[in-house]
Amino acid sequence: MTDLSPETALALLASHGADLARWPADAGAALPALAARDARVAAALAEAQALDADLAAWAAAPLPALAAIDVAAITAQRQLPPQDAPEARRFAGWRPALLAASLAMMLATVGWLAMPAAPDAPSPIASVRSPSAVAAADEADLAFAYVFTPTAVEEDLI
Amino acid sequence: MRMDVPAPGSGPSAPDTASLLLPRVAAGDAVAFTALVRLLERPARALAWRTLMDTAAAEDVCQQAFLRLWTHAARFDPARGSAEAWFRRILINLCLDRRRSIRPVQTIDDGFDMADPGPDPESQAIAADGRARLEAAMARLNPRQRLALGLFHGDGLSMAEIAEQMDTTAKAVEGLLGRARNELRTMLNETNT
Repeated sequence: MTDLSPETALALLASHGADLARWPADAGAALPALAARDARVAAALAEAQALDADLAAWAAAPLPALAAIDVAAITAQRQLPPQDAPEARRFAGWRPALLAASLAMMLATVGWLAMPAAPDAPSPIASVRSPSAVAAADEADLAFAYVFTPTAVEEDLI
Repeated sequence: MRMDVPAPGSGPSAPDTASLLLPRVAAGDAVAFTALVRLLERPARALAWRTLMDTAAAEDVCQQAFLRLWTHAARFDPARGSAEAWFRRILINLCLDRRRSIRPVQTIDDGFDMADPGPDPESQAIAADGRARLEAAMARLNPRQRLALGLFHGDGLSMAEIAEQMDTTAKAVEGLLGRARNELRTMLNETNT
C-alpha cells in the first residue's frame, strides 16, 4: 500500500471518480483508511460516488433513434490507393533534387551535341539562315553598337 | 466502444474482428464492409450522440466516418493499433471538427421543464426529472468534456487510451475530466437548490 496524501486523494477523486479500480495501481488501496480520518476526503468520496452513478446512468441511457448507415452510398464511392510504403517515403524528399539533376544532365547533353565538331567547321545553324535573316541580324548589331558604343567624351569619363 | 476485448492471457497480438475485416474492405469487399459497419455502428452512434447531443449531427458524423473507413481502408496501418481504435479516432476527429457548428439541443433552463407531467408515480417523476437535469447539464459541457466523460465512464477506456484517441497527454485528459466533473457537479447542485 502506497502513501496517499489528502491532496492526492482529492485530485484523483476529482478526475477519476470513486471507482478505485479506475485509479492508478495501488493508489486506491489507501483511500478507505484516509477517508475514515479525513472529513474532506470522505465528503469528496461521497460526492464522487453520486456523480459516478449519474455518469453511469447517462452513459447507459438508450440512444435516440438514428438513421441507419447508408452502406450502398458508401460502397459506391471510389477507394483511395494505399499510401507509399515507408521505404518509398524515405526517398520522397530526394525527388526534387533528382529532377533537377536530370534536367541539368539533359541540358548539358543537348549543349554538347550542339557544339561544332571543330573551330573552323561552319556552324550547321548558320547554313540554314535566310539572307534576310542575316541582314536583319546585321542591322540589329549596328543599332546595338550605335546605342551602346561610348562617345569620346564618355570614353574619357570611363 | 470497446468490443472484442481479448480474454486475459490471449495475448495482445490476437487481431480483433475489425482488424481482420479491414484488409478485405481495403480490397473492395462490400460484404466485409457491411459486416464491419454492423460491428462498429452501435458504439459509433453512442460516441457521436454523447459527444454532440444532436441527432442529425450524430447521424452525419457516423455516415462520414464510415465513408472514410471505406475510402481510406487501404491506408490503415495495423502496426499502429487496432482497426477499431483507428476508426474511433476518425470518428472523434469528425465529432470535434463539428463542435463549433453545433448548438446544444437544450439549455439547462429548458431542462427544468422536462419532467414527465403524466400520471406516473412520484418516484418515476423524480427519476425522470433527475435524468432531464443531468441531460441538460451535460448539454452545457463542451463536446471535448463530454467525449472524455463518455470514453472514460461509458466505454471504460483508461486515461492513456483516451489521450491517444484525443491526440493529447494522459495528464491533459485527467485535467479535462476533473474540470468536466467539477462543472457537472456544480450545475447539478445549482439545479437541486
